[in-house]
Amino acid sequence: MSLEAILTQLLMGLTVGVNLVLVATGLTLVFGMMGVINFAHSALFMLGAYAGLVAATHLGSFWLGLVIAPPVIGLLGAGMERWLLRPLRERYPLSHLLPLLLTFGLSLFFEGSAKVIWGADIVSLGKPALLGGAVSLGRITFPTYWLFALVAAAVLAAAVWLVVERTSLGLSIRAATQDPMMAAVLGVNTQRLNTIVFALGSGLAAAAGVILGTMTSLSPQMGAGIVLDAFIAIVIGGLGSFTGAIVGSLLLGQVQSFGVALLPAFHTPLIFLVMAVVLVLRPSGLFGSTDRR
Amino acid sequence: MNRRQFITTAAAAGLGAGLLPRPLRAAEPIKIGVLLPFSKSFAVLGENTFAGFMIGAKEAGPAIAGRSYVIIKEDDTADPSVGVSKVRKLIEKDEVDVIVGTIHSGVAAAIRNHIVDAKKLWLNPIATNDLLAEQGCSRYHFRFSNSAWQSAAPLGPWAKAKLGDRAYICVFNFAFGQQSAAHFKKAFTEAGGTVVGESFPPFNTTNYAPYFPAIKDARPQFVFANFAGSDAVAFVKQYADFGLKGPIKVLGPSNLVSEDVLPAQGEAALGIYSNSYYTPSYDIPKNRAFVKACKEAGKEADHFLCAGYDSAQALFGALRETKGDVANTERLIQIITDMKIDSPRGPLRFDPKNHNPISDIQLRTVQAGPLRHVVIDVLKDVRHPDLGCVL
Repeated sequence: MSLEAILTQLLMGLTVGVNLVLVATGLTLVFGMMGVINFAHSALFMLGAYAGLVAATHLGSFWLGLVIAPPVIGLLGAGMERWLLRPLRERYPLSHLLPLLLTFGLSLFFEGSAKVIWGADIVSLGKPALLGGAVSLGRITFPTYWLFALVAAAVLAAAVWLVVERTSLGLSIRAATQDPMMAAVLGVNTQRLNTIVFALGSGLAAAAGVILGTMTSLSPQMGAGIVLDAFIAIVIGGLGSFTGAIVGSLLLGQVQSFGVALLPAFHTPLIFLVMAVVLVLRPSGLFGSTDRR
Repeated sequence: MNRRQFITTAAAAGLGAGLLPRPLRAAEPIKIGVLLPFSKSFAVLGENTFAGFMIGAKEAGPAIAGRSYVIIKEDDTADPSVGVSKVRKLIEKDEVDVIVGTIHSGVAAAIRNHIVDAKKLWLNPIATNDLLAEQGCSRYHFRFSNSAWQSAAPLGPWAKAKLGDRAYICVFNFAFGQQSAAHFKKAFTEAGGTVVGESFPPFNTTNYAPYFPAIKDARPQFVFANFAGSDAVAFVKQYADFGLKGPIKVLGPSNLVSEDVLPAQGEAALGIYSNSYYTPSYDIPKNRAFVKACKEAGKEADHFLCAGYDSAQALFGALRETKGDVANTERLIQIITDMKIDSPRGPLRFDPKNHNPISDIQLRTVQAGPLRHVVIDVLKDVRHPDLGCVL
């Protein structure tokens, strides 16, 4: 492998990794606070991409699509939590299965609806002319759009990191992901926090949907692959841990990128091998606390 | 007659059939079973193939030599097990006279014995499985598209002459991709070319970028790529994004840049070479009329519509010749084997050795304004090699 190839591979892995952070954040925070794996997360990612497409087509600007999709899907996520998940959890506070089934049902509903509304045809979200072509970075050239995808996702992820790690809201979120019951006893309004976290996670997934959808194509099942990756990332990083989601996602991006280059026939099992090794050495993931659950 | 009405009449006819004297049974409508994927990821392809068949049926009129016909649609969902139960339903319950289908190669392999054992005429519009022209061939089976061999091997010598000596192969990692890669590699190396590298991304890959540095480092003159659906969109877009398309040309079977993915690929597809037995812009009178008929049916012409249309042309042409007699399957087989079909793709006939089509293969390149395929070369009368077929 030439130096150029190594650097390119590194940047590609980073682009995918930071976008994975956006998808993984919602999954891990929701799990941390509610103990629910949100199966509808892939559908929210997909709906984000379509919302971006609709906004971009009707308003004639990719940028408006990128700005409008996250809050719209964020509201949808908040609504899901407030009017579907919360009543269910209040009625059956001990069940982990029912919320899981609810989100699974919702994912089927959203995918089916997308097929009815937008059809099963493969469609594409065009990138703005400004982001066409490629840029030179020292010895390598990298597509402008991919660089944008890297920077945009990194900025978003950094903003979320600041909120989670440096604000009082973030302190409450971290407390609630560590131990929801204790946080509630200490006066944190965990119900409101659940809605906020659901909205935040959905919005971030939608942003990733628009950013990544532009690199590939849009279809009702487009979310399945990326959310599986995000799930692997948070299992490696530690379920419920935000730091773990970041580290796991960035690691997974590099494993995928270099796995393809160095072990082409073995890269799919390689990812699961990494996960298995991490789980053997640290059963609750790199940043998961061992005394929980 | 809609489907429910048909099922009622079909059930009534089925019950009475054993009791009726023979001449009366001959006056029943001809039953044509159509088995295609109408849902899931191949839905669009199934709909288009069926639309093409219906254009042919419309041209043939509502009755053949005074005998009417009914079409019974079944959805195989591109799943072999579903295909088998649906084809059994068509044969045993509906008692169809002829079967038209299908698209997915795995479904075609799965339904093969059920149709052949029932001795039904089988018109296969699309499914490319090589086996149906080799050990798995059958006198009851006629194919209207290409075998996987025909869609890849003829590209070898052509690419050596027109694109260069050094090829890289990048295809999706399942039967169709691997078969096409093996056929292309064999033909290309026999023509004197060198394959400088290979990679096999899994089905449903969304990120192809990690494969590109290896392609660049191998310094090929072109890449032989075989992807379909959303995989083809992601590959083509990212290949262009990473600036490989300029220095390293791309060549592939028709599905890499077919009409169902071309709009989503947009400018990224410009200049990509592909081959097909049918190109909508092919300028012959028969095709101009066909493209117009597709528009009237609310469709854009593509190779699925063409193959569906040709299946109908063969079927109704043969039935006209037998004056609507569908009972003598051997006679229908003989007529279709000898038939010269005036297809939108140009003349089409069948190889008497394996019932695979012998037709021209067009080499095309994607051009702008509006985005379309332009034929740059035609390989005459390409036929599948004789490999273990006994009809």
